[in-house]
Amino acid sequence: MTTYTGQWMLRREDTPLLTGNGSFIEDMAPPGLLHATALRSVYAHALITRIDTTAALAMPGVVSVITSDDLEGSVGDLSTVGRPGMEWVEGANHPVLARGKVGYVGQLVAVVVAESLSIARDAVDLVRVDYEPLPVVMDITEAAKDGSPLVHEHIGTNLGASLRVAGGDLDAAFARADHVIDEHFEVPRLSPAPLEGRGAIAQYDPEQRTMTLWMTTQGGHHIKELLEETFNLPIEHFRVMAPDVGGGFGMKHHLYPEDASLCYLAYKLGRPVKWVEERMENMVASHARGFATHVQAAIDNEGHILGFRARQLADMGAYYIAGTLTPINVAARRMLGPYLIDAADIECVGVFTNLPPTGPFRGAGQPESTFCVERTMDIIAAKVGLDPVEVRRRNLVPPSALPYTTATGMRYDSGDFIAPMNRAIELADYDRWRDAQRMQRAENKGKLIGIGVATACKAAGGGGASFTSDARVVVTPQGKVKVYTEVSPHGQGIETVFSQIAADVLGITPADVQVLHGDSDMVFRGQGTFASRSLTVGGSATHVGATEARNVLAGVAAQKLGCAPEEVEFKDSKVYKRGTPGQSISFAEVAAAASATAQPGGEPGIEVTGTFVLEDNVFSSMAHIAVVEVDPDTGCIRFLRYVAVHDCGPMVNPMIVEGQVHGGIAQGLGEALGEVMAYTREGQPLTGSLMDYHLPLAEDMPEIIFETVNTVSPMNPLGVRGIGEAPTVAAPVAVANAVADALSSLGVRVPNIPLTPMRVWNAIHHAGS
Amino acid sequence: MQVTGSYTFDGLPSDVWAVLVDPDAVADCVPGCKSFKAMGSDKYRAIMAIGIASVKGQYEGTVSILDQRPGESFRLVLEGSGTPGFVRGEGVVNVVEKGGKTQVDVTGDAEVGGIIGRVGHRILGRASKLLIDEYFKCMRKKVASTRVGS
Repeated sequence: MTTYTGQWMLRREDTPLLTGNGSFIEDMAPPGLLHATALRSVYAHALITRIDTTAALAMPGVVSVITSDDLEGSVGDLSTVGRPGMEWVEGANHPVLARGKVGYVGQLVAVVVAESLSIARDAVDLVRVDYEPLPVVMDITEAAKDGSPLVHEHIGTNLGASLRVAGGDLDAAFARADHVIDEHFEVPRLSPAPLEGRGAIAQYDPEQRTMTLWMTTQGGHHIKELLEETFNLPIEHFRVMAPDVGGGFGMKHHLYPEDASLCYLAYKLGRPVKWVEERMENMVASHARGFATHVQAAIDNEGHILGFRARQLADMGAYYIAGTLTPINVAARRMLGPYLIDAADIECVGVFTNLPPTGPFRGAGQPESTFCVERTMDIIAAKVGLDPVEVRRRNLVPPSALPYTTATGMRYDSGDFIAPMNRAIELADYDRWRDAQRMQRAENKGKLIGIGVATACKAAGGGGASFTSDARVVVTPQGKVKVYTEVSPHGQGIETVFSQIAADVLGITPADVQVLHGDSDMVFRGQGTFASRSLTVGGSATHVGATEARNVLAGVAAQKLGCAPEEVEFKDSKVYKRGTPGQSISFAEVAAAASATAQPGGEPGIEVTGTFVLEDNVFSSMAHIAVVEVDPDTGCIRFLRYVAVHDCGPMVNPMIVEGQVHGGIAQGLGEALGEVMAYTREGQPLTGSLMDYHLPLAEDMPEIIFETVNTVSPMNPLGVRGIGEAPTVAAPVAVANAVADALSSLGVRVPNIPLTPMRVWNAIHHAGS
Repeated sequence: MQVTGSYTFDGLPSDVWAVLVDPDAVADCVPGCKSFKAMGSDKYRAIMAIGIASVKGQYEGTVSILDQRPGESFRLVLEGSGTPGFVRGEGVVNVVEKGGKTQVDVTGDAEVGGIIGRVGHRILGRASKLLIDEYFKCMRKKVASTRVGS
């Protein structure tokens, strides 16, 4: 029975946010607040020979200046989350404050705390740091070679982590191949660039011996675990709260040096301490992607992939932070995408460089690998003389083969990987654009038409008990419902969506449901918002909790209605015996009666906790088609059509799904066309501000034609598959394939992304030189 | 960051060379130079105020004039740091006679770190060129006045 689930509903979050009534870290000021400013490395790799804080400390209003010496013995390094089956070297965890040396421009060296932010900013200029520059290594391919400068001398190699996954008889596949595709693909280093930068306030309560950290996080429970490891204190000492948070995209699921420094300072000074990041700090805080992949695909004359081998290098930057190993894990295990490939051997090696640390960014390894596989599919098509759609059709896992386990061990639960492509072809008017392309090529003039297809699948949720999600559901005596969730929204519209879910389960309206979040003390277990898991896991927990609450209410109502609890129906804020809606009692009346019988303690009303464990990742699938024209005179790319079809399972709020897809495509097009964190060879950032880092603008966006396919997953009570990250997986390579297709008529190879006009123009005009 | 430039002077290479390595002339002509003091032979301690766009600050560091081949060339090494970050550079200055005049060719490489590097890299090349042009314009005046005086 769904009344609200599946409906377009405006987001309840938007009115406060759009009228300036949100509450972000910057808006918060507990009494006695002190302000912190960061002193950061200006060198990419250097020894710190001396730090002189005397002048800064002497400045009136300055309360404290800390360096790594202050943390010795009480604050450890930041921890990293390992992955089963992966090997990684010890000794490269990110220090909270630089200890004796710096590994990248922007690394935190010292923190100045003062009575006001202006004083702290003036004082930070008075801290004198002497450096002795060391050789710098910037490029992952160079860093992976013997004899390269070492980021960590004591480790003795820049190859820090590796994961190899293999299955099937790859030698046999290559032995019987008609052709071998041998290619190299690169995905640049990117800045996730959330709208709001990072920020935090730490406050220590000496009576309770607890540290409260308000911060811009995607998951307070996860941050608590990381704090426990860095401070070597029981997890109960920490409480993490997230006020309104303006985007994260993976970047805000780490514990950062600034956060740990603030906790130390709040404890030491006995006053709350706040730090809010500036955009230029954000641009060098942490990055994502930065992959180079060598692909070999064994294929037959009919375009079937018989075997797939890949060796990837992944840029980890100078140190591990919490999520550094995640993209490596995902990229290797999920390289094969939605295809039937019986034999594979994928190795992903994490490489240290003198650059900021890296972590997941919307897709977390999947876009990195999908880029390689989807480029390869088009290259196969050209090799065997088939349309790229036909090559995909021959290799996609058919619905009849699901559930399907890949050669790298990924289990695809259910779905229909072909349906999104079929629908995308119709929506794109694919054949007509191929005709238009033939005509343009026959005339051999004007702008070059290119058509790019990408089919992909994307895991959601994070499987297993370690990702258990709690939702505490309270029904008040007045018949209102509160849902306390562990997922930590930062723009997704979760309050709206979860209220729709709970309202339908309890037969009330979303307006009767309050959704609360952003406090690690609200519920016991959770991991936050990442891996497209908010709805899949947190929404499912909400569904479970609301269902348990309904069961309690049904028992009370059954006595009043003189029927069995199973016969009780909840609809239109009324409760009645099935078949006799005329003889109903109000939901509020049942809630009041249930509250009277509830155990004392806790909140007034009845309270249950819904717990949901997603046993394994659930997979969504998608097809994107980009039609572009490339101006050979300028290298500029213009969209003629953009189609996205996603199988995200049933939708709770189609408006929010479409919003997620628009945003994901915007980030994907940014990656394809403009974004790259560029550095000088000495490790100085060239794109250190949004003046130089080319995020896509409104004018860069095509009209997006979007539809969904809605196959139900058996893996969760909502049947959903996740949507947050999926569009960012397909979009970059759909565009790259379109540009490659356009340039192929000139016999020109598509350059590496981002496909800036300069790169495209150079490819056209300097081809072969 | 690569830095190159060519500047023509009226006068003999030996005269031009002498002015180019004269600490007093250097101190007068370096844009924003607040202090320029010898520390041993061929090495000077300098304080320089500089601003690019809205970022202004002061660098303190050293300037070394090395491998001096009178009338022909010298090598310039500079290192400085301060509130705007740091600058490290090395360049070669060649002095050659050309059609009765003297041509000074400068080629160098500099690393600029910190706030100026980060906000200004896009304009840094142009900004440095302006500063160097200004420097040699001043040097040209010095050479001219030397000739008048001699």
